[in-house]
Amino acid sequence: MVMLLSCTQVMIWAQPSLAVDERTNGKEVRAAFSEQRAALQKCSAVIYDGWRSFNYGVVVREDGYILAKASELEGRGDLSVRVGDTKYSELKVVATDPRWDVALLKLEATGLSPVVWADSSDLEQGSWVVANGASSRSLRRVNVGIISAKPHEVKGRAPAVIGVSFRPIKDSLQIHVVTPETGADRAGLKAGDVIKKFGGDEVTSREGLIERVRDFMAGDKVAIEFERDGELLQADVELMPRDEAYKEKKSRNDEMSGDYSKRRDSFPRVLQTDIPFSARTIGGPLLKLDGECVGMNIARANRAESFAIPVEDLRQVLAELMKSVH
Amino acid sequence: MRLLAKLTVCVLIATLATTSAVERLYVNDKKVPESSEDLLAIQASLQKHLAEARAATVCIKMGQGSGTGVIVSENGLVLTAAHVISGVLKEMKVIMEDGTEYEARSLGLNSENDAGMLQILSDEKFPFVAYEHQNDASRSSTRVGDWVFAIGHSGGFDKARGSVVRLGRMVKVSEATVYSDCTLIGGDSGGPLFDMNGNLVAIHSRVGGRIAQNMHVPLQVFHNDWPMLEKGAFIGDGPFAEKPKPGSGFMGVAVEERSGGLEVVQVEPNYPAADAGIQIGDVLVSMNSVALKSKANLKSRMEKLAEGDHVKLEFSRDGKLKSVELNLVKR
Repeated sequence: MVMLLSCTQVMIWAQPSLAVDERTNGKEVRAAFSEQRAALQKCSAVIYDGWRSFNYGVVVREDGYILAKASELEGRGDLSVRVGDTKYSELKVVATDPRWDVALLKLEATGLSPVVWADSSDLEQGSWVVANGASSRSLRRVNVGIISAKPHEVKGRAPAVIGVSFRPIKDSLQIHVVTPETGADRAGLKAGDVIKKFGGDEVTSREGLIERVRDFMAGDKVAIEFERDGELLQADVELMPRDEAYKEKKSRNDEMSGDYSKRRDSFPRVLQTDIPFSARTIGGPLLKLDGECVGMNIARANRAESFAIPVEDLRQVLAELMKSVH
Repeated sequence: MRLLAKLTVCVLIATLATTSAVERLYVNDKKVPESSEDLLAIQASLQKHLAEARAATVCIKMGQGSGTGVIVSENGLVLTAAHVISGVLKEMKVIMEDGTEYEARSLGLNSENDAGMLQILSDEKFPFVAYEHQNDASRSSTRVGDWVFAIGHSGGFDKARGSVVRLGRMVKVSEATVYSDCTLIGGDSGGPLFDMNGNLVAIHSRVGGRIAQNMHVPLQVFHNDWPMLEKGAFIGDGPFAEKPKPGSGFMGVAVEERSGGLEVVQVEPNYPAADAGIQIGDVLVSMNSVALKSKANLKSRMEKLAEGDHVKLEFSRDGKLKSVELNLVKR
């Protein structure tokens, strides 16, 4: 599909233009959001890999529980989290929800200020929403915008893959091609093998397998049972992010979108905003003007669209993740 | 260039002097919003006009391409960008927000400033946004710093998501192009930009190098060419649309010379002649009121016509004179 928007540069006439500080996300406009900024300062976490912050998190309990975007934690070596003025390097990834791309982190902390949940994410389109923008140690900027579309599902393919394609045979998962340098390749799977079980569950169709794959994150090792020459064999296969396994060409819209989230689709339901995030400013709370949290910013999709998990869904995800604590 | 700039300043000053009659959102006259009250005033103005604005915003589909347009009359006249329709008198589809599809035909375009027009082909009454009919720049209430909102089918039609609205401010205003910090992306092209009174002020044209600086065609540009655009004229010489070359038009028939005209001996299925009902055995008598006596006649006429051109054919069938009208397509 070709999306129409021309990129032609045109001569600009000498006209006074709006000062950068007075633009929608300029310094002087942001000053009107000082209350929301103060709220964000308390209820967001800044997540670091070494000295570099790469994402935000949502403080959900005073005793150190934080929600973060799970796929952004993949392959990070030296995680630490700052809340307010305190930096915590002792932290654990307690549990992960691969479908919503949310991880539950636990810091050794007490007395944190959790977000104040809004009763509902049902905000009229065009309502102001506020989130974290770029930050330094001393200065936290707000990033403002509006609810820009109806809440909706974002369809997409499974974000993590094992690295095989299948022959079009009904009720059979016979491997057609094993992509080199993927988990399947490294585990020794070969063309002609027939996959029987994935993570202990019987699988007979592509769709069925994909649904199971959606329950795992890239980096997870999954036991696969397969048939080769009439013999049942088993292998542990490590899942890999789709974009690493298959180098896909960027669309024109992606070319013009700057720094978007690696995982930006396959969400059951999202709020959409026009907040100009970067991939790095995702993960924190999305606040209404009254400071209540209506969601968690989960993906920068492109230069005009950003997604948040609605508060109702987020609280359910949190409740499920908390079950693995005790 | 410098002279042009001076002229523009004069025009703008004249504009500012006469806009006082238009009721403006008070926050527009503040440098920046200063309080929650100001922020809520912006939000309330946008939300007041949003439902109407969205109802009139349509997705335009032509081949593999997808853009946006806005209905400006009850009978389905749509404003869009020239590069969305890409040519005049072409068949395309329009999708309403609820997913209903209509056939449409592009009207005129100005390939130099990216203004384009199309007509939905239906007798139904359509939701629309009013625009200022007069060629009267003084009625436009938009200046640098004014709050505006953009709507478009970003990335193509998505029924569950609907069209996407973005809030921003006017960043720069010139005669042929206005700039806002509303974010845009492919698929938004041709969509409407509204001021806080719900007035249509411009049509999305192109993205800037910065994410929060994008370009729109002001409504005044449409007014300047309105009658020509309505008639389906191809104005200008690019860069936003390429004029079809003479000789590129095709109707899909082969003919042999007969007394009184050219007998159709072959009809290409799914081409304009077949679609218009021309059959083997029909004898073509005239094209656009000029008699067709020889194959050379037809050839020389076709060499002057281009893809998209409108043609009236007279022919005889079973001794009766009939006529059809069709648009040539690309060979």
